[in-house]
Amino acid sequence: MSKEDTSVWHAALNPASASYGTRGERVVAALVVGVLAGVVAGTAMYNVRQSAVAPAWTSDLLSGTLVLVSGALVKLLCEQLRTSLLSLATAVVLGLAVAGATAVAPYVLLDIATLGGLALLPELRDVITLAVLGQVPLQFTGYLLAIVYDGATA
Amino acid sequence: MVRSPRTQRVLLLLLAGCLVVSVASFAATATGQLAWQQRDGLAFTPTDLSVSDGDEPTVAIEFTVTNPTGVPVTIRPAVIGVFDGSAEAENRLVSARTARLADGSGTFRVPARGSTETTVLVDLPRENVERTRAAIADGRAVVSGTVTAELRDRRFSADV
Repeated sequence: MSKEDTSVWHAALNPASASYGTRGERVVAALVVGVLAGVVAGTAMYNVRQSAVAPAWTSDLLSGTLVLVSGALVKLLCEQLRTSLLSLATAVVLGLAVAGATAVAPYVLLDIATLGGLALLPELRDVITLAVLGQVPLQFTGYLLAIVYDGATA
Repeated sequence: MVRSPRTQRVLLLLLAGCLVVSVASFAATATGQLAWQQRDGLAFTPTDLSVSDGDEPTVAIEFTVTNPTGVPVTIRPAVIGVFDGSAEAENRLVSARTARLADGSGTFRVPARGSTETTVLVDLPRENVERTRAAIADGRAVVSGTVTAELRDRRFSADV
């Protein structure tokens, strides 16, 4: 394993330290944490959007909690402010991308006609509504709570 | 102050735990959504019809219900009738339209990717008993109607 690979792994496994490191380490830390948090947010918001066909144990409360906690972990894992903001932006964008992909996927997988994309409009409207009213506020609230926690325990 | 490596690992594990729970619930919900999109595959095959003559004549319809989706479906018989020859012409309806399960329960469950057998009872006006018997004997009896089905918390109507 080269020295560069070792550095990437070290940054990925120690994102808080890496968030104060070189530019490369900061980017690795932000992307690793942001991607993980983004996938959590995207899949959790999918469960909220499809709650009528979700099993009983996947409640909206559980999904909301996961998004909130993932937002807090972004700040706790990427301690440096600018790195954490990059990570949060990655998480928000990736969450939106995952939610959008899950809205389109059934039509592609099952070869369902979208009437030139018209059938996708209500799905995408729900994705955007949930992102604006659910995913982003929850992630941001979690992020702010982590700042408050860091401030209180400093 | 930078968190210790140990704390960072714990927080990373916590995030990984969130990811595992979130992806597991995503997979379970996606199975439900795919099942919902494939709900038209629910198939009702009448396997036997028999008339029971008594104080209140009924026709018993045995069904094999097949559920090709990945999620169990709960079914409540709603409007099922027996027709003489065709379900198209209304005057060929020989039975009442309201159906009930022979075992007295309100619903029955069809397992995921499986099938189940059930018997539905439909009231029969006394004046139609012989006509229904003849239609069954000649292979002209047609069963048609709809049921209410429930896939997790979502309801839909399915044709019989």
